[in-house]
Amino acid sequence: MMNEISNLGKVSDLFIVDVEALAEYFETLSGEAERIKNNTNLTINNLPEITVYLEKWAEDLFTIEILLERKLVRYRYHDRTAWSYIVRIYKQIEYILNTIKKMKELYSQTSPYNFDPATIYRYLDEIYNAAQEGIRIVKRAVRDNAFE
Amino acid sequence: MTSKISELFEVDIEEFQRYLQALYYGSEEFEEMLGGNNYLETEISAEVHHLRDLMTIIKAIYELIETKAERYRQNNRAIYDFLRTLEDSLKKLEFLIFAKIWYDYHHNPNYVDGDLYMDLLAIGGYVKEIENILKSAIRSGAFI
Repeated sequence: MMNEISNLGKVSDLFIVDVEALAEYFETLSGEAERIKNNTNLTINNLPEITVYLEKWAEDLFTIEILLERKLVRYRYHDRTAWSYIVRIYKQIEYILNTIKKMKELYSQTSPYNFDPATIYRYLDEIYNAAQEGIRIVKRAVRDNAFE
Repeated sequence: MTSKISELFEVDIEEFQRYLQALYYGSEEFEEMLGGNNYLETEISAEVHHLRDLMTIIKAIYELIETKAERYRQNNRAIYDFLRTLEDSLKKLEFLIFAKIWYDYHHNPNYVDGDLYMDLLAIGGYVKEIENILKSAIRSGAFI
C-alpha cells in the first residue's frame, strides 16, 4: 500500500507518512471487518470484543485524520483541494464510528434469545464498504496532488 | 530556551504533548472523583474509557513520529536514542492503561475501591517521565 500511494502522485514529506497511514488503516479496518464476517460464528457474546477491536482501528484512523487536518490548518490553510478531500475522508471515518456505535447499542438492547446475526453482518459490510471508499478517496486525493 | 522543531514533526509533537496533558489531567480528575466517594458506576466506566481513548491517540501519534524519524532522520542518532527511551516509558503507560486498569476494571469487583487509586497515581508519574524525556529531546534539537 505504501509504495502504491507514493506512486500515484506527488505528496510532500510533510504529509506522506500521514496519508500512507490513512490508507493503511482504512485497508486494515476493511480487512478486519471482512475477516470477522467470514470467520466468526457470531454470537451476542462476541459483540463487545468485536466492537472494541474495530473501534481501536477506527480511533487510530480518526487520530491520523485530525493530525492531517491540523497540518492543513497550519501549512495549507487556503488549499481548497486538500480541504475537500479531508472533509470526504472525515465523513467516511465518522460513518464507520457511527456504525460501530450502532453495533454497541444493539448489544445493549438485545438478549441472546432475539439476537439476529444478520444485522451485525450488515453493519460489518457497511464498515467494509466505508473503509474501501476511504481508500479510494485517499488515492484520488494523491492523484489530484491534494497533499503536495 | 526551547529549540526549534521542524515542520515535519511540529504538529505531531504538539499534539503528542497535548494528549499527554489531557491524560495527566484526566487521571487527576478521576483520582479526585474516587477520593470524593460520591460517584456513579457510569461515571467510573466513562473515565476508564476516556483513559483508554486518550492512550490510543497517544500511541497512534507516537507511531507516526517514529515512522517519520525512520524515514527522514535515518542518520540522526539523537532522535533514535530519545525515541527508544520514550518508547520504554510509553510501554509502561500502555500496559497500565490497556492491560491493568482496563482488565481489572472489567474483571475484579474490588478494583475500584482498591488498587485503582494507586494505578491512577502511577499514570501521572509516567506522563511526567515521558514529558521530561520529550522536553529534553526538543531542547537538544533532536526534532530539527
